[in-house]
Amino acid sequence: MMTRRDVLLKCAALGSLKLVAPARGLMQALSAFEAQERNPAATQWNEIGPFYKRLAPNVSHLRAPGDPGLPLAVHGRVLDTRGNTLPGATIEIWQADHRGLYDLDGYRYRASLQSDSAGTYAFDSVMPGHYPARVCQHIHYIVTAPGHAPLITQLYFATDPVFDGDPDRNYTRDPLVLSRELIRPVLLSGDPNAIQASVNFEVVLERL
Amino acid sequence: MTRARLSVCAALVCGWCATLGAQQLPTEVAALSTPSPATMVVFARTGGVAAAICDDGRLRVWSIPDGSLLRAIELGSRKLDIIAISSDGRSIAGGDHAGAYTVWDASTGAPRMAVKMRFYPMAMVFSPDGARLAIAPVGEPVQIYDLSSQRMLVELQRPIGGSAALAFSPDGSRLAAGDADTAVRVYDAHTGRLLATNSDFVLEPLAAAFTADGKQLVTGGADKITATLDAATGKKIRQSSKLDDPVSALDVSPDGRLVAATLLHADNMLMPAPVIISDAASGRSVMKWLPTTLALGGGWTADGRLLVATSDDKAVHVWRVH
Repeated sequence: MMTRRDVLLKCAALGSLKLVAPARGLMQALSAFEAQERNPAATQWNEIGPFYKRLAPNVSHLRAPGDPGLPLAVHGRVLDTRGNTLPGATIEIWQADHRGLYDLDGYRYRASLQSDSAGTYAFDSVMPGHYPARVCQHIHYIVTAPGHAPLITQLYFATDPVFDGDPDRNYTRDPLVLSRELIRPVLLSGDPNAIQASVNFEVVLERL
Repeated sequence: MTRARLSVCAALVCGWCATLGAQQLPTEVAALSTPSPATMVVFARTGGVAAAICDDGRLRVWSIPDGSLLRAIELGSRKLDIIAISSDGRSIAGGDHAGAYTVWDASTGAPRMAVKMRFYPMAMVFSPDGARLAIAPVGEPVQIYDLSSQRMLVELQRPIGGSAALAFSPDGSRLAAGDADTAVRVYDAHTGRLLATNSDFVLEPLAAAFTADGKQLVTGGADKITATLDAATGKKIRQSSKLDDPVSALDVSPDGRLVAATLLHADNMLMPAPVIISDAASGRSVMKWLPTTLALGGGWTADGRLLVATSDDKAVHVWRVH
């Protein structure tokens, strides 16, 4: 598996990176990446919203066969601020369906997951719709791990039409999006009749 | 979705209403003139003062029922998320989206207290005597302030996600909180000591109100029920049958006989949702009323009237529902 360092070196070798002073600039960039890998910043907090529900099932396939909406795969790691992966972390997620509606009576599009031995987690879902009283598409997270401060946050999508293709400039259109960092790029794959969206969302917890 | 809307009581204008016993239809008792629509309205327990956040960046205060404007407080660039009013109508508290909180003198418009916090408010409530203000900033512990000294008296424990509902007991000695971790907690309002916890909800309790004798606590929320708890132990005494939507606001009548519950349209909280009046002792529904426009606030007055507000671009409409 390629590391970020490998990718950066390969990009430089292929001329994908424009370096003013190639050798020095490359090393600086590498140092920055490696520092971030070693000491990632804690993931930004975001409000919990009103529809959290306890006792969600431990299921990673939230999207049932035939469910309408854009299939969405979310994956990532749970880390601490020293860059250590956190196996056994609990990741509670909940979201609206493709129409923007929450299931309050059952547990559709709700799950309580555990990170694996490598600190990774993944689930299959659908791209959430726009809840009528909320600006952005989003997925709620509560992440807990022993010895770490619980994290409440939300995942947003750079492809959300609300951002007009420019989340850097337009993320404040939703007053509840307090950090650009929570808006993640979306990888679209598959043929036009079966497009799948994929998002990486790494979660960094603060140690107590 | 935003939880700030949860502090806005959903209304009950027209639409349909079903009553048991004598027919009693809502009547408009005041039209409070405003050049821009209101987004939240509060009534003093006296029934003589109303205040509203208006879209033109002003906090307006009216005398009711005559409807005369007492004060229009210029907010500048501040965007208030929610407001609260003391029982006597003399103090109005507002919290904005940047985490700045102010208490104004309702008659002069002068600030009485200003506090800066990390985040915007989820809930605020004055103690019954108006001397203290409890603030629940989103995701943060509840803080109780003394208005005369402008100092924080106590900070409650930190539930994950903060608190969405606050209620003082009638004697001001206890504070109940509906917390985002789905528990209802009752604290000593002077020391902050946790007195009782109820963990029967699986979704967030969004509303709480003590009964008139302070012995019971009526709660409700996204579980779509109301539950009456023993305020001393937290143990559930009874619960309603399943409602159509979450409960967003609760208030107990001064004589303790009736409970008003405002629901929240779960699929679109901007749409009007019913208000239900039920018998406090039995839980039996007395009246259910679906408004045609979203209610922006309401509550019982000391003389036993239930007032609810709606708004358009010309006026805040005050409806007597009971």
